Amino acid sequence: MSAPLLALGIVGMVIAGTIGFALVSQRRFATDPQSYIVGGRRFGAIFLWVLLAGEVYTSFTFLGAAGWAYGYGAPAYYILAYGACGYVLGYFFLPAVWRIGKERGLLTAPDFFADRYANRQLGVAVGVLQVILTVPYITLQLTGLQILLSIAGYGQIDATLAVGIAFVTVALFVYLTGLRGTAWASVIKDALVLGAVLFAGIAIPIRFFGSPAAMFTALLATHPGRLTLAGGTHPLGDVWYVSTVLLTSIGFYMGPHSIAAAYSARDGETLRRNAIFLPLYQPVLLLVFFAGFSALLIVPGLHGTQVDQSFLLVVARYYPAWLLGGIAAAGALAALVPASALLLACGSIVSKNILGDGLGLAQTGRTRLAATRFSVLAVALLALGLWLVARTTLVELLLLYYNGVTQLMPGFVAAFWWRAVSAPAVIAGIIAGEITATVLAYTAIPFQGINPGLLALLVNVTLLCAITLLLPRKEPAAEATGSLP
Amino acid sequence: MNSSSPQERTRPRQRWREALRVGIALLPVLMLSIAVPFVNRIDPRIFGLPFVLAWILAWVLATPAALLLVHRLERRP
Repeated sequence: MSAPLLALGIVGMVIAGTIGFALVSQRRFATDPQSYIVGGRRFGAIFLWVLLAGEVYTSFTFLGAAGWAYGYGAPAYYILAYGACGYVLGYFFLPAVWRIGKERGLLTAPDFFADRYANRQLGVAVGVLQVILTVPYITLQLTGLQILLSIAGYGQIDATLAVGIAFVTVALFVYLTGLRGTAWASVIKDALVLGAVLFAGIAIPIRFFGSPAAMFTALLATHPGRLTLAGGTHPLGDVWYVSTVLLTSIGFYMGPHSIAAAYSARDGETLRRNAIFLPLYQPVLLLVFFAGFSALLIVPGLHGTQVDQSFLLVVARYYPAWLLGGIAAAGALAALVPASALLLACGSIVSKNILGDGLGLAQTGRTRLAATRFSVLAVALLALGLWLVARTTLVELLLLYYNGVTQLMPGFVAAFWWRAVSAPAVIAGIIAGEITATVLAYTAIPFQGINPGLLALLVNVTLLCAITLLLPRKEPAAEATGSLP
Repeated sequence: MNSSSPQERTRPRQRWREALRVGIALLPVLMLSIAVPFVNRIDPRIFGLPFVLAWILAWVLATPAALLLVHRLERRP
């Protein structure tokens, strides 16, 4: 059997096997929106841990982090740091979101806005915004999948068709199973990714340099200055690092799928335990850096978007085809499992907030479930279409998504702490923040090295505060808002 | 969360405890963000890692410990 066929065969079998396993694990399929979208709010500590790890560590973890280590060096350290900071925020924040979700029967992130600010239009607007931001994030996973498949085919096949088939299969899988399916698929995905990263981060440096420590010594000799941050306000320097860690940790849980995962917990205590123990998954990223740094020494000279292939090229060149197949399979699951969570979150926002609250369609349980399922398929086709038309590099899309969803944070926080904030103040802040983030991202004006997303957040918060002080909300809140624990 | 009278009496003490909890939780966040430019160097290398990378790794691993402490302090005195 030829090498590309063997490697791709393994990838295909692992994807099919994971979907099969997740389907068999379903005791019965969801019959109401709550069990379909948020797993009936019954996930315990271990299941939720697996689901959150499955969602957080995407193909970006796999390819992008190694690519950053390869292409930039020290700036990649932010990826190791921000997750831990994000979990600290989540410890305080998610149990409070969960409690309100449970009390008020919320299913989506926009539901939270509509409920807390007693304004349905706000929910519709936030929903539209999240769909616009999340669809490109889904296409990001498709780009990751394509890189993996074309390397697994040793560059001899055009992976476009394979990506399309894999993605449509996953969309049908989400159509059937909802959040429970994603959680079960995460079990296999997390285990495979851990194995693949252990290999890439430990075995590669040992084979080529003797040990990871020796790899760093070699890197310091050939690339001095690569392993520390540039000083002060340089591009990707100190100021950039600090502002990016702060920004991305604020945005860490703002994705629509992360809020849905928070709703799915059995209780607030489960979420607190998860926030305590999830940082233990972060050192996996250190191993990904090892792999990326090793690749810089072994296969130097990659530029631009090629850096995302870094350590996979090493595996393809120096290791047997079955091993490449196994690692590419883990990477493919790291693209498809988060994509399934994103599809579900987007589909539920389309059906609940846009079709239901916005247009007054499909508002009873049974029709809403059907509408959510079809919305999942519609979002999948939209993402696939967008991906076929425009493909961008991993990091560009990721930063746009992060800067975008982070703009929801002020509205989330104000819902707990400041009753005078009105829906118009929240939406004005979000819009101003989005415009600032987009303009700064495209004009690329360096502003003392600060991450433009953080400046956008500052504009957002300033406007929200100014409007609230001038025009405080008059009508009392629907009922006691409670406070963060 | 609610303001019944027995809780009213323990307020100052609880507030101090709250501040301590937030402080402990913020420690790893600050050490992973604004502290990093001050430890941005290669030497001394720890287990072969550049010092700045080892620093970040150490505080990532300290985060669960800090949150565990925060969690314990949430309970009774």
